[in-house]
Amino acid sequence: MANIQQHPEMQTTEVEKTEVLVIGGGFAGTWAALRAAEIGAKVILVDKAYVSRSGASTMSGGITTCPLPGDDLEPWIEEFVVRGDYMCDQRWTRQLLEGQRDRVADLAKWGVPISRNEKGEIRRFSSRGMLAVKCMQYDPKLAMEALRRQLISHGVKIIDRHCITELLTSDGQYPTKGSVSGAFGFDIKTGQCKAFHAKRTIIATGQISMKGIHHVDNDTGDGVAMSWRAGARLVDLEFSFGGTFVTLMKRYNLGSYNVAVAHGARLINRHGERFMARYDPVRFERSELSRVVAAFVKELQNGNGPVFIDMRHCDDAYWTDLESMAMTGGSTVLLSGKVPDPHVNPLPIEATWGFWSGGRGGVEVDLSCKTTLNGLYAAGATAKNPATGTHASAGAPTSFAMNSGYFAGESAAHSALVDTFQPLVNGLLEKLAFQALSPMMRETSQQTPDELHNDLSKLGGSVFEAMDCHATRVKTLLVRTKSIFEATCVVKANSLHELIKLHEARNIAENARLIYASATDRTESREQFYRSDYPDIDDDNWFCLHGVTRTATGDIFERIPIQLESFSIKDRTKKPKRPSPIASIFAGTYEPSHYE
Amino acid sequence: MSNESNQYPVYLDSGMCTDCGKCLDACPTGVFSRKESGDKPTTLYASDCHVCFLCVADCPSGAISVTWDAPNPRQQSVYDVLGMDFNNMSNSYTSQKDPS
Repeated sequence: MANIQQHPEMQTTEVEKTEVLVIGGGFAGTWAALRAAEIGAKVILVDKAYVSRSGASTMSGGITTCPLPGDDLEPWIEEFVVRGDYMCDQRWTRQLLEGQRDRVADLAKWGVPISRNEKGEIRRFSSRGMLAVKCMQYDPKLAMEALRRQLISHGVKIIDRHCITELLTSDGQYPTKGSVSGAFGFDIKTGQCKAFHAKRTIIATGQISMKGIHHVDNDTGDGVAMSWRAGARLVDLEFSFGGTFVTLMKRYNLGSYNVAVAHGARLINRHGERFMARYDPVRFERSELSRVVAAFVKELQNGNGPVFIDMRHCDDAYWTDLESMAMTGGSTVLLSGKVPDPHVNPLPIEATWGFWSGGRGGVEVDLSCKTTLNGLYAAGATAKNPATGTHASAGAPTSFAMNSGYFAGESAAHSALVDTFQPLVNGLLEKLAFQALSPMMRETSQQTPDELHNDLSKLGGSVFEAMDCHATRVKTLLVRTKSIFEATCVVKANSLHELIKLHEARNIAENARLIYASATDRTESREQFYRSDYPDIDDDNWFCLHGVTRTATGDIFERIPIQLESFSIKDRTKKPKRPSPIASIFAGTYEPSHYE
Repeated sequence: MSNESNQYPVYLDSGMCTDCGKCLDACPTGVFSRKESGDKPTTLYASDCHVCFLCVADCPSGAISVTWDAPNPRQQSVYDVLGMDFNNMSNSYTSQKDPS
């Protein structure tokens, strides 16, 4: 194995120059690179895995928002805005849906399999949480393969298996008073350090998550952490908590809950009751996931568990698509014989609640995906999705990834083509090389990087504790997170493979600290954010974006007004001060009409 | 073909491996590696398998298997917290009235 002590030459950094650098090769990153190359910029795309086999896009459920030519988009926009509690930039909502028509057309043009009806038309269905907004089923792995082919044919230089550890700043300071001028990392196979000196940098490394819970273990929030260290403003990090129903029979991965319920799957308790009828008599288990997970917890607390997913009501298209995707994706437990036949047996299912930001919290971006730092753009789930507010429906995260990538690539390329390179500060590359590789030179440590990830995965606790961010609990979590972060500064990496995991642990710990600090600062409850010591929705103080920025003197929190008056859908009724949906569900006082 | 201990989810049968190297690209978390240059790939970092099955589909010789049955020390089932056992539970469920 490569060893820094045996190979000191690894600290000599190679420098590659490019007009546009894209970090991360999922839907957002590949679409950003493709669009930038179409415009004529020289583009490098770097990923810590292999582009098309990397990140959440390849392993997603394969549903995305699907507006088609001829659709009146106004009801779609309104539904996104209203369901997102108006906490969005409505210009982005429109841009997302208009852009998505073209992204869907691109996927079809590239030959990506899309589920179709007997007439050959795209088969569309209501996405989770929505009635007007429709989505479609496609093969995400083959979509990523098509994007890789497109990148190669447009001359994008793809650099696989490189771990980016830090952004480059024009003044060499973190946080910077200047701009972002590329990124620094190392070759995972050899340890060779490499700097990418760029006019514009697009960060698209996926969402804040952690290892072991969601079966997408290389989404570790690297881009959010690096952007914060460089000084970009992050927003709504406390909304990074999210729930998913992924686990069947205590251990098996369901695949996509969203896809299953879109095709008729139901949640029932041990008495056979479809309990979501009590909470959302229109959308049932297709309601906001925060409410479904809270209702799940309530059922278990009331002794009505286990909760089953009942797939006896799924339509034929569900099983046909599942079989088709299992052929290219490798497998699905539902068709494996490992679980009782789901065509006839409801299966015990459970929810998780943890870091799964899905674009609800992340790096702040504008309409062009520019961040608050010059030279830096963010796309996909690394960015806070401004288009859909508090509710990311099924299909919205992938459509936002595709379109934010496209618009980021377009804007970055246009501005890069008329700009010059910022010079690299003397000594910066040596400093970053030391930071990147020094964990391999440390003395033997008591803990391993894997043990740090074990500690991180236990932060949230069981779903019973995890949904409540009350001050006492979060204070304890902040202490534990600080301790894990400090450990990342002394733990030794015995191989390059461990070195990556150590950098990932550092990034997760940094994100966790910011999430818990943001949760402490927000003294109310709202949609998926709940704290039992402040259970009420407080529109007077918290109908806003919640920003956090790193400064030389510490974190600065800001409340950024949402300018409803400047948007076309502005008739939001101020919410009375009353318990949030999760608070009401837990109190047993939930009235659906209060929250529609 | 299986991982006898089932300690980790992924198993590579070196006898069936044709050394095409596709698993090295397929795995997002870098499970596969050649111990020395020229060696066939092995599951050197098998504990990092996150059960995505991408390698299974990409291996042209069918040398790789992934199982759902390996333990996941980072995930605790809420039903274990509650001490619930599922032996025969799901099978017996269908004897109940269909809620529809």
